[in-house]
Amino acid sequence: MTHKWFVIAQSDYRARTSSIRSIRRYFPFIMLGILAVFVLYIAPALIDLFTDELVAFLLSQVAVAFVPILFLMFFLIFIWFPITLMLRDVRSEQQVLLLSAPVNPRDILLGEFLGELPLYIIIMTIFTGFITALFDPLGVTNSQKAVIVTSFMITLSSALWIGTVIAALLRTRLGRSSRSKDVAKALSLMLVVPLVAVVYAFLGGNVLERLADPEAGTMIRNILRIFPSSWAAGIVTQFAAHPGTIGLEVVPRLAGSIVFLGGSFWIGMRLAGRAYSAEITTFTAAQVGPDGAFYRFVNYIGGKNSFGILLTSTFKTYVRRFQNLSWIVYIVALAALMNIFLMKPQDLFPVFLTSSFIFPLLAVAVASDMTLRGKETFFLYKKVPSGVGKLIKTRVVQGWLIVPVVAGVLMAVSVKLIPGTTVTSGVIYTGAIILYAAAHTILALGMFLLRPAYDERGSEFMLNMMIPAQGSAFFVLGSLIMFGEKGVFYLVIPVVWAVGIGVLLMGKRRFSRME
Amino acid sequence: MKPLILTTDLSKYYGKGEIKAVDNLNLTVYEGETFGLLGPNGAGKTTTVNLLNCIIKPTSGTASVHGFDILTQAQEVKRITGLLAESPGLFEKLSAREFLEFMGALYDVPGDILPRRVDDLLKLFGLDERRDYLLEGYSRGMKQKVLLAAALVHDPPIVFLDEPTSTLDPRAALMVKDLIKDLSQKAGRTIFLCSHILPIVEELCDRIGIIHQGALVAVGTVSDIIGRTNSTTLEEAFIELTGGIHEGELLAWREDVNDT
Repeated sequence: MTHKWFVIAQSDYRARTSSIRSIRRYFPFIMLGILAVFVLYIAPALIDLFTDELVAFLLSQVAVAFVPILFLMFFLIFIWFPITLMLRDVRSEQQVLLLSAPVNPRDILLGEFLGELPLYIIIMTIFTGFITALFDPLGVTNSQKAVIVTSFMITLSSALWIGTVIAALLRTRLGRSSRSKDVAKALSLMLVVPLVAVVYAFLGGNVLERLADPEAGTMIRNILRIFPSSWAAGIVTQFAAHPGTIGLEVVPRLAGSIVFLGGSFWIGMRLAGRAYSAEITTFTAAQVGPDGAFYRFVNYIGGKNSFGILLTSTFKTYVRRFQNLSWIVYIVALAALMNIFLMKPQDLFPVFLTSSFIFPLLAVAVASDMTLRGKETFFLYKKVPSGVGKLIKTRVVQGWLIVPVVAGVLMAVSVKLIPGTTVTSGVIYTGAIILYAAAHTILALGMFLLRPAYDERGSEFMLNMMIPAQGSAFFVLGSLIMFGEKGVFYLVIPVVWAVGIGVLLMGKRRFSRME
Repeated sequence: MKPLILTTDLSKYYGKGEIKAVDNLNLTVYEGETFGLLGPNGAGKTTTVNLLNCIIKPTSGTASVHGFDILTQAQEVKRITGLLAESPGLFEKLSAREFLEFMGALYDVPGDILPRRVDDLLKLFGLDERRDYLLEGYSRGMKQKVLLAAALVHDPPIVFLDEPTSTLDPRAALMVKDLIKDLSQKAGRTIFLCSHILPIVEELCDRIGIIHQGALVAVGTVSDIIGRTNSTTLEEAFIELTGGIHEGELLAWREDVNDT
């Protein structure tokens, strides 16, 4: 009799490889070949390009503290992967099928883990390919490389297992209502922020320089010792210092990694019953009270007539979705991190520059709400008399009440934080970013009318996000290089307005004719 | 007749007991019969089905299914039941064939029988030509057929069907009705059916139970229940037992318009 975990793993693997079904049978062999070529030839060739710098770095004091940090990042990313993927699309409905069958929850958990493992092994192999190639110039032996690969794979497998267990537990909790699924989507975006913060800190936060300080390096190393990733990192740094000899110090580190994997496996299996359950723990449904001051204000802006009600209703559907709010928080966090770690502005122009890269994304996120709630919701307006016009008018005003306002507030805060900023420059920059964000709002709405995206994972959504964001980034940088700071103000803002109005009109025409 | 499903004060409460999804349910379903459970939305039909399939645990009381206790012998209960849930999630990245093979393997259908059975079920439901298409491309009706096939793939003696025809076109609905009749009459299977479509229940079920706010308010044959409530149709009896809107109230919302 086939083990249930194997059946589930097989089905999970089939689902994950459904897009390559025609070559699924040969996929493992093709992948094996590609990875072998990568590990044996491509990774060493890439490392070869920077051999001298990398050898110097690996033998430096910085590496002793940096390698555990790098490994910790890998460890956290492998925990983060399955959680984020689950949060983006919580599907608990399938659990009814599995729970009604004679299957132990442990089999479901193990099956899910093993089903996803082959694809993660590809990523692990790419990482290990680089790591082993990195140590070639130091004279690390093949047996040492085998120990490095083993410890690295064990560490990442532990992380993936922990991530899978947490994802399963969260899915059961968050998959029970549309509200909790909305919270999950918001969380998936919020979880990116700490990772971005760490990457920006490394890129512009002088972290490497601080690690070069022996005192700081030792302190960080001691803190990181509690993480299993540091045990694998310890093996790497030990081999880098002593190529050719494996040494007894490896034994406790490797044994510790294995014990950690076993321990996390044991705990995960014990939690499986909680991770797969159809029991409802709460029976509370979200209720709304009478409209507060904010919605009354929106109604007032809308003229307190039928358009006011339409605008208020659109705002309510937008604001009551955590996912939408998380986009605003995410964009503000991104702007703050870019300014703190990368731009470190002394005046307002760098703040304007980062905002000009980031706020097109918020404009797209706000505009996407128009179509992401489904074709039926979107097409509702086509049934209504003058529906297309009403939709556009409502969404433009709604967008303008969010995107330029957030952009303006962020700029106003920067005016306050950057010393020596005059009131005049503060007003000019705040006004400029408000105008720029307002233009992008109509551009994004036009994009979504031209090319409606009903699913965040679809190519339409990605293109609608990439085209205005990337396009404007290149345009802003080009204008800056060619015409200086004034070029950005006098050229970029009017052009984005013109393009935005054009695209919006084309979108209106397209949506009116859409069937 | 041998009782196959027997519930004893079966209850499922939520919160601190203020929400009674199922309240002291005492019900007997006999071997080979087709039993219909009727009730308005939120009456407790799906919760009852979930309890009897060991998907959730009761707050109090118990039940036996084919002699197996739902509290202590969950695996055995699951093995001898098939379930078409009200809103199950399909594995949309699998094809119909792959999905049925997967479900068959979960229910321990022997490897030498499974491929043939999957083929037969796909042919029966008219899905043979699209067997290798991913389920994500199927219409709602076709997905329902696949789920129905999945509920039958291990040939269980007891089949729970929660709204089996709700998304099917008339032809497919007729096929499912005939299938339910054959499963009951020719194959001797016990069918536990939940449906809002009263004509289907009237046509297929030997006995029905009406559940309202978690409590069973009537059990018997259709004619028994119609007679007991002094009604002329099952619809009237259903409204009588579960409450409804008086005819006079139906256009009350237009009064403002009429006044002007």
